[in-house]
Amino acid sequence: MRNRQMQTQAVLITALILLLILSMVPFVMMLVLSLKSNAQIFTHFWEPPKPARWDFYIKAHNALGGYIANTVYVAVLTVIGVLALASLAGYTFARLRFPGRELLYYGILSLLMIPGILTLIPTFMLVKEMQLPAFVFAGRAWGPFALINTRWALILPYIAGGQVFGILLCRGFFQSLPEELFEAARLDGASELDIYRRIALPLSHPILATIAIMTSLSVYNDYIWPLIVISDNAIQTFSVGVTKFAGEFNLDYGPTLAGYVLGSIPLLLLFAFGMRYFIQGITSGALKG
Amino acid sequence: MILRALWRSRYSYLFLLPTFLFLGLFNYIPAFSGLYHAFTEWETSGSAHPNGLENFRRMAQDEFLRLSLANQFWLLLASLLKTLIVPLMVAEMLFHLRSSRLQQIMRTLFLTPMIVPGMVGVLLWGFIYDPNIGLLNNALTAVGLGSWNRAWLGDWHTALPAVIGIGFPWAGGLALLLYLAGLMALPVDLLAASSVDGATFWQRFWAIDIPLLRGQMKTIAVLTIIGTLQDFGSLLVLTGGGPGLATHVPALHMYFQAFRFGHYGYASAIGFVLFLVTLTFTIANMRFVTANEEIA
Repeated sequence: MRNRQMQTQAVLITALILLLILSMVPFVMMLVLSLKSNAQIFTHFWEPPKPARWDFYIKAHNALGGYIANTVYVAVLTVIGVLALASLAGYTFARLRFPGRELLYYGILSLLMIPGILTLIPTFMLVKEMQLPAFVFAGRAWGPFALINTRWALILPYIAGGQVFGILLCRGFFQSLPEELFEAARLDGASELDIYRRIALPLSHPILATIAIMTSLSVYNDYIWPLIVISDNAIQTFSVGVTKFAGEFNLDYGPTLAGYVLGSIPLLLLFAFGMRYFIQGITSGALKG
Repeated sequence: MILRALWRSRYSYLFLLPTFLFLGLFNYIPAFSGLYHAFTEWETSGSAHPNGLENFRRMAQDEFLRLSLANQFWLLLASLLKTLIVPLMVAEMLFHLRSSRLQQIMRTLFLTPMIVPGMVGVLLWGFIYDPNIGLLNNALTAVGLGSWNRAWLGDWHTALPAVIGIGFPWAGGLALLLYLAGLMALPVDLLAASSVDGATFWQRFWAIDIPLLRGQMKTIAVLTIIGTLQDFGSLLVLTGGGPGLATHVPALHMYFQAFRFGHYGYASAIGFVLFLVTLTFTIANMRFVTANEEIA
């Protein structure tokens, strides 16, 4: 009996390791080939890099570093916006009572049924026309500022879309807090904004971390939207930049693959700090709707 | 009276104002605009003119769209099989590991592919299928099957299967996490009872696991359908829908109609139909899930 159980375990572990190895193939290939010159790749495909061309990483950094920095910049501002709006709205829906609460909340829930494919074209046409009107400030005339082809053309729609899921998570979290917590503060005469800032927010770090990670991930992985609203390479994001880079260096494989590795580093750091929150976010049940 | 109630709640509305400002501008208006413009002629230059059902008539006669439907069907079927079966098998295997430490390590390892940006993952598969230095051709040559070598994504016969093969062995990701969480949540006494009764693994699998994981399976199925219908970025980068129309799909058709040819009205109509299809699946799923929760 014991023997059979150990056999089963051995079979399971072998199968899992085999699947893991297969899953890792593209990434091992990326790491190994990123250090090999074309000559090495063509003639000795299966051999380790000899010599390892670390200089490819410098080349890749020079070409892609800007895109990566742009994406991180956009992601950080988006996350700040999403966290601010989602936590405030989530708190309001969860703990405050006001006429029209259900109706407004359904208005937000209904957005979960609107796929990006329906709004892609109209949002683009809207953003194309959108601009901040000209104004005079500090004795100078400014603007008008067009939104298209600026980082804000990414950040603002990302905040709008990203907060929906965030509001759902925050509302659920704030509803789970005991009412006494808020009651006591209200009796002490604290304003609603104070209660939100002093009591609700400090307790909600785990849920905010989850939202931050989900949002960063979707910003980092988005491809179509930056492709159509950003034409200036200096502010382009990594997903689009890397496809251009792969095109430019098409015949020089090592640096291209080194660029893929570099582009993975921000997400690696993100997961290193937040894998737990990411898993919580997915398994929290909010995705079931 | 009503005004007083509204006034008393002014902070609530103030707190929600920024949220609805953003949503109005970037979500509600575009959604209604998309619905409206599906029934207009809307070209690059100039404003939209209502043209009734003309766009839909055009869709019915669009040969490109008709051919893309078949591709979409195979892609959908394949991604459903990929996300419903393989991650479930992996989740079961992980669940039956004796050592919880090993289980945790393995789970994390299965999720590591997610730290690679989506577009890099796609480009890496383009690299695997590359005719000159691709891993697949090199591997085939190494085992003596060099005569099978080809430009996998450039060959009319293999382009669609190659696209389906992306991500092989499709073990990790979101589906794995959902299944594993579902298995962990199975009632312990039920599992204990089944093992006391001497149920074999497969008996338990069909009698307990599958029925109780139905909620997860439906969620994954719907997310997969919605994701597959909408995801054309990877196809745009890898094949552009080609060679010929071998990997063309409706969403890609919409993208080309809008951003390559400037037929925004017609593209909106395609988007509208894709939306209706997605909505049908979403609503069906919500009814399933609520029905499920009532049972449980």
